[in-house]
Amino acid sequence: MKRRDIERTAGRPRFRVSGVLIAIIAVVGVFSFTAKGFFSLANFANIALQGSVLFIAALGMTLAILSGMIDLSIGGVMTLAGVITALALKAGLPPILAILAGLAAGSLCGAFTGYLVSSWGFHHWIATFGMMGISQGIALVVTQGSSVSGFSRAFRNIGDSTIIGIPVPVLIAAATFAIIAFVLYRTRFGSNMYAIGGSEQVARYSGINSSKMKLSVFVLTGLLAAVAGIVLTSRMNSANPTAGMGYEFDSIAAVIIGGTPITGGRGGVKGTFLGAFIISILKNGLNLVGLSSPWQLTIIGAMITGAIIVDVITHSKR
Amino acid sequence: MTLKRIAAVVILAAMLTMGMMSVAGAKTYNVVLVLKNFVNPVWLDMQRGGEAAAKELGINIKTLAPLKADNNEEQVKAIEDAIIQKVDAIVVVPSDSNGIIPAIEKANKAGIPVINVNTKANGGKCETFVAVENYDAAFMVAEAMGAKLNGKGTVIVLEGVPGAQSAIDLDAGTKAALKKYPGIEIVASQTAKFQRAEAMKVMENLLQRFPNVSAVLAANDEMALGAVEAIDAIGKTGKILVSGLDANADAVKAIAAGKMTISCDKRSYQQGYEGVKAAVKFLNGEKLPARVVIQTNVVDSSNIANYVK
Repeated sequence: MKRRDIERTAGRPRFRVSGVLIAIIAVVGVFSFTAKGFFSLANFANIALQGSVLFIAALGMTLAILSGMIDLSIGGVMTLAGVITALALKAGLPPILAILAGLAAGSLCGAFTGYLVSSWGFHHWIATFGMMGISQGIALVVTQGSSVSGFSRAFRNIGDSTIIGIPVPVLIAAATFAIIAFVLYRTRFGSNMYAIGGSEQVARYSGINSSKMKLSVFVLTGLLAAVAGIVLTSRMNSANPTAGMGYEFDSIAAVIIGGTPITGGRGGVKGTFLGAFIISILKNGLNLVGLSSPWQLTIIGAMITGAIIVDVITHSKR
Repeated sequence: MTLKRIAAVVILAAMLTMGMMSVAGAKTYNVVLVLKNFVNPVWLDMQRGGEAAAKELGINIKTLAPLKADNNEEQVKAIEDAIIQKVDAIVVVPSDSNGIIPAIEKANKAGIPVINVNTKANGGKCETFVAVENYDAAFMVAEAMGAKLNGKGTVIVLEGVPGAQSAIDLDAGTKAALKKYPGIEIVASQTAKFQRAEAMKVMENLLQRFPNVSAVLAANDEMALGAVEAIDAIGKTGKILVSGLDANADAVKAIAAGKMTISCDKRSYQQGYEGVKAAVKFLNGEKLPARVVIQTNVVDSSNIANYVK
């Protein structure tokens, strides 16, 4: 066995994020000189705030991708969880219960997808693609296509208040990251994810219950999508029935740029942090410079391609 | 050597003077224009209008729009970024009248004036609202139609989505104008939800009952074009007059081909232009009215040449 294969099956995470770090430094350097107001504490807090929702959603996507799967339903589930929380708040439920309802909705969506994949043998692509339509569709139906808005201060605090100067969404993202990183890097469950992502067959031979693993992974991605959707709803003080649309692709971008290959088995949430971070810096910096959105699309697309090229080069040399 | 040195001194001096001039000169305002997207021609026209106003008034303008068309979160981020840069004013066309409120509130808190254009924001403090008056636009179209019919005949009215404010205003404008012509009778007034296919179906049914109707007044071009199809199917093109609103590309073609009679240009370019102009006026200390109404133009065979591209 080559070293790389051992790494895969043994599930030891390796962090190879230097490429992204260099890119981040370069991007920060360029914007510091070209974009007025970019290099300031206020703007760094702003970037962190703007990137937190994507980061939370991308944490879920990382788990799916490194387990050798993909979750296309993340955007739809985010929207649905946000809408359900919003409707629960409008129905007079206290914020805690409304949030729990939203989290439950997200987890249920994930559980359903996971069930289709693990028990019925659906391909994860098809199952999550179906869920993408179902969750997005329900969100549109229950809101009749218009946004649900205007919440109590208690709920709005999640999205637009600060604790010792740090925006609350950033704190939520940091806490979520800490929990997921612990699970991924310090528990058996975490290393099993790498194992089924590396080779499901080998993982099964070594006694890992891969269908149970898959179910759990989808419940987690659903839950994380719900967290992202609820934070977004609070921040916008409204649940727009298409708010999460496209987040699945932004998350995939963050994961791939962060160095987790689409084939799974390698990478991790530390890279995703950098991936989500650089996307947020780019979007912010290009807004500050005044370059229109088609450029953002082009540059982020180029970065994904670059990340894949770097991955291929570094892994073929070994 | 000395020549080089002299040249260097001259260039340095020039640079210094220019630098000082730009400091001493009047402050150039920085304005950010936030649109719904960069794919619909309506917003591209609005961008051109805003940028033309900026050029004319000698200010800096930056136009931003979501990458994902009509995405509220990206509009909010664009406004947050503008606040970070301490721009002098923000001009916004909200995709989501409610979802945009937190961003407007942030700008209010930062003391940056906000001008609302085209689509109303339901909260936060905006210095003015620049948009067309749907009632007036529909009134003008119906009035023109009345004149074309010489004040007599029977007409069918096609209404927009029931309950939508725009549909209510358009319908009220149409009917108020038709009241001016006692010789014109409204034989039917039904909704076709602003949709072309729906309008075609509704008209097919109505034409069975009223095959000799003189005209159809639709609340937008899409419905008018649906009516055109239905009328074409029974071979009465040109005999039954059709009006709509928006002057969209298909309607312009239909008017040029003589299948449709009247439409109305809502002047997106002008909306962008006036929005940016209002921002500069406010910054110069002028008082703004609560509402800046963009005048609309009736489009018919007499001026269709200006619209055909």
